[in-house]
Amino acid sequence: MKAGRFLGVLLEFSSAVNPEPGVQRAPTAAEQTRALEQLARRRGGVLVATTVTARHGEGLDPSVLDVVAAEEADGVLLLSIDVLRRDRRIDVELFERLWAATGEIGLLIEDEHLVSPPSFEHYMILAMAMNHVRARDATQEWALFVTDSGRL
Amino acid sequence: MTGCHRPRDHMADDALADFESRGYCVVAATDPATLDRIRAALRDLAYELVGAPHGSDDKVGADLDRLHQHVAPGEAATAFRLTLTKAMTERFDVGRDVFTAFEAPLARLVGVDVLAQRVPNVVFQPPGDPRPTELHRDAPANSPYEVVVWVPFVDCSGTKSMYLLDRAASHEVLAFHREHHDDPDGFRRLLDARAALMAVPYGSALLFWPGLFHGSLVNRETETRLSLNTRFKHLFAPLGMKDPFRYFRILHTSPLTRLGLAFEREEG
Repeated sequence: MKAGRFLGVLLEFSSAVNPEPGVQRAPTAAEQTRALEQLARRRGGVLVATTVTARHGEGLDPSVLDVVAAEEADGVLLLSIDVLRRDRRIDVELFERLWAATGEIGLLIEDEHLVSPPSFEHYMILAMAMNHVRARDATQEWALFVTDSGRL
Repeated sequence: MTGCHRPRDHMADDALADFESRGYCVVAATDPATLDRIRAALRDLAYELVGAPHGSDDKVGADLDRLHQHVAPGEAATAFRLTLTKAMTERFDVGRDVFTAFEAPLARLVGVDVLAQRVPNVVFQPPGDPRPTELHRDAPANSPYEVVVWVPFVDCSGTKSMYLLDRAASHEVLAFHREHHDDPDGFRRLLDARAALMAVPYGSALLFWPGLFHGSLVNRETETRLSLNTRFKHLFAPLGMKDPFRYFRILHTSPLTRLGLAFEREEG
């Protein structure tokens, strides 16, 4: 059996310090690469030499599909679903194209590995639903309400 | 006749009326066989982890009541709880089983498009453990559109259980804190007066709204408390601070939701 060749997709956090609640510092590119290499090995494959990086909140450039083709990658390992997130919206169109190009997508932080059409469809429902919910929840008042930890 | 029309469940009506007025209710499992299966699996796993023999199939509750006899208190108890949680999550679909066991009232609260917490929290509280759960409430931070399901695997009452302040009491202590934030003694007296220890026998669950203050005391009883808490919400309900992709997973979706989202993909 051929070992899977995975393209690793890193996330450049917008802040190196406290990038999100409960996380003291953002993982470096080297740390992310090592973690994705380990994930690739656990899946019986290797990470291709090239990695792609998405900037936090800006999403992934569609040219990632060219890299998938050039590297002959048969799977994509994302640090997080957030690599596909533009502002509040997951780029579900690109997510679907990555799936169509490879048929295997791993999400390291979310601990999900999509290898079958039903597993992808299931996750796609979550991504689309969260796009709707986040768009609706986007008011400043709601953000203040749920982040107000000083209520007691 | 199709299966679409069900007779009203008056017991569930009463419980859900309590849920709305007080913020909580205790409900019996509507699928007790599933709950029994989770408990037996948890007992077997716990005894496998501590390396001790367990009793026969009719001794599951008794085995869990005396689990503290096999685990040292303090750090070892914490490590045991974490290992048990990880093993439970890897081996069983606990969120789905809990929803199934209490599906009748839960579906009435959150509907049929359901998100389940990815990793339920297992709580192991041996007698005398000096680290109970501090007073807190889940929302804000968690969405106020979630329901917390607290499932004891042993009969829980007194300090072996958890305490809760109902909606009115939670509102009252919050108002007191805001007006008298420099009076911790007064706050503590009010809390002691309003907090109620929940009596929840095995076979039941405490469903509560995340805006309620709750916590636990040092377990002064002679038996272990082993319980699980997890959360469910509607797929399209407003989010709290928790990242939905890390905290939740989809448990159920309706055919209508799947059709609508498919339509959006195909024609959007």
